Amino acid sequence: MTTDLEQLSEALQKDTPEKLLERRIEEKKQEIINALQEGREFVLDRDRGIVIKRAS
Amino acid sequence: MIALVASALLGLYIFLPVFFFDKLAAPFVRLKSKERTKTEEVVAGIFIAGIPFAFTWWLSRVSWHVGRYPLFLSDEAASGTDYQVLFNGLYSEHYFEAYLSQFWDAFWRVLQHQGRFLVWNYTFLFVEICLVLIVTYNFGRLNQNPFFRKTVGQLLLRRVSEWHPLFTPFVFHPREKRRVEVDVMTTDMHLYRGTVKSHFINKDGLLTGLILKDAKRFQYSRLEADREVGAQKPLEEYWKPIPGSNLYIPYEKTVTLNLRYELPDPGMAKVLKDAVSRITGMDTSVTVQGAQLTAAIGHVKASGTVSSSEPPERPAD
Repeated sequence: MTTDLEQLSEALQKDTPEKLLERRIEEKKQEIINALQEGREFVLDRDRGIVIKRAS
Repeated sequence: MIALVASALLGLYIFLPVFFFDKLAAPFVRLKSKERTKTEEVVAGIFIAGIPFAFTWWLSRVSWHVGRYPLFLSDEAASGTDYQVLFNGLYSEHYFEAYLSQFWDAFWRVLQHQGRFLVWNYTFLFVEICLVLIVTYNFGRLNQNPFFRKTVGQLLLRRVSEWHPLFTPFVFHPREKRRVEVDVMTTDMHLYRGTVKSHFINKDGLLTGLILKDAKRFQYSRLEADREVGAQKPLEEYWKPIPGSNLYIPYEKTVTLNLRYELPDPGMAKVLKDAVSRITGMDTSVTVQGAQLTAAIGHVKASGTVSSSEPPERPAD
């Protein structure tokens, strides 16, 4: 197997879970804002167990 | 006698340094992509032992201290003549008997000379080992520097097994303390999840298996049964912990590997909190529920290439 390890290294650092989740937050921005304004929690992804709520 | 001395010198100047390097710099040595051939081993050994040797030889000439300490010798001591007398005495018994006192005088001077040289040689060998370990343990940190990336980083990546960056947090900053989480689909259609503890490669550099800790198996039949009766439960409930601390999965039984490089949960929550606050402009708190925080980033197929794809769809129970 021949792999360009430099490219692989960059790809691994680029697509980390938190970066992907940040992109999802960006996509769901308006829904999150609406939920928070209404005082509700927002579950970013039920399966991934991330709950966003207003800071108390 | 000459052969005996030559063997001792070979051992002291090549074999012993290589032995120390292999033992003490083991994290670096393990990075190699495949077993070396005998010729490659010899060349690598000469290279490993040659760097401190060359450095000692050069510094002995340019530095007064290295040339005289820790075993002090006067300037005229251990000259070429001493080595000549020693060689002749070892080579010819007749010469040895005829020049007995000169031989032993030369012998002790040469011994001191070699002792001094070896002290510095081994000092620089340990410096070499320390540098190699620093680079190995801090690759993720150092590789953020463009100069390092284009020089040492490139050299290091050339000798690293392609599996190492995939199954260890090697390319990430050590401060982040990431762990490697994997979902493994096996040929018998089971889906396993766990933290990669170690991976094994054979002498050709091919992956032979993985050891997972905190392993779980996905119960797909339970999910299907619940769906049939309309019961909706979080998917986390279908992951059944596997007893025992380690699960070995042979690579030949593997269909796909889905790898994630997870931050510790508190670190992840903070990153996401900052992201939400930055994106929405609202002060928020973020909770990561359960031990398993997953976010698939790609799919490592049997060929070892990384591509975007969805996680496996129909695992068996």
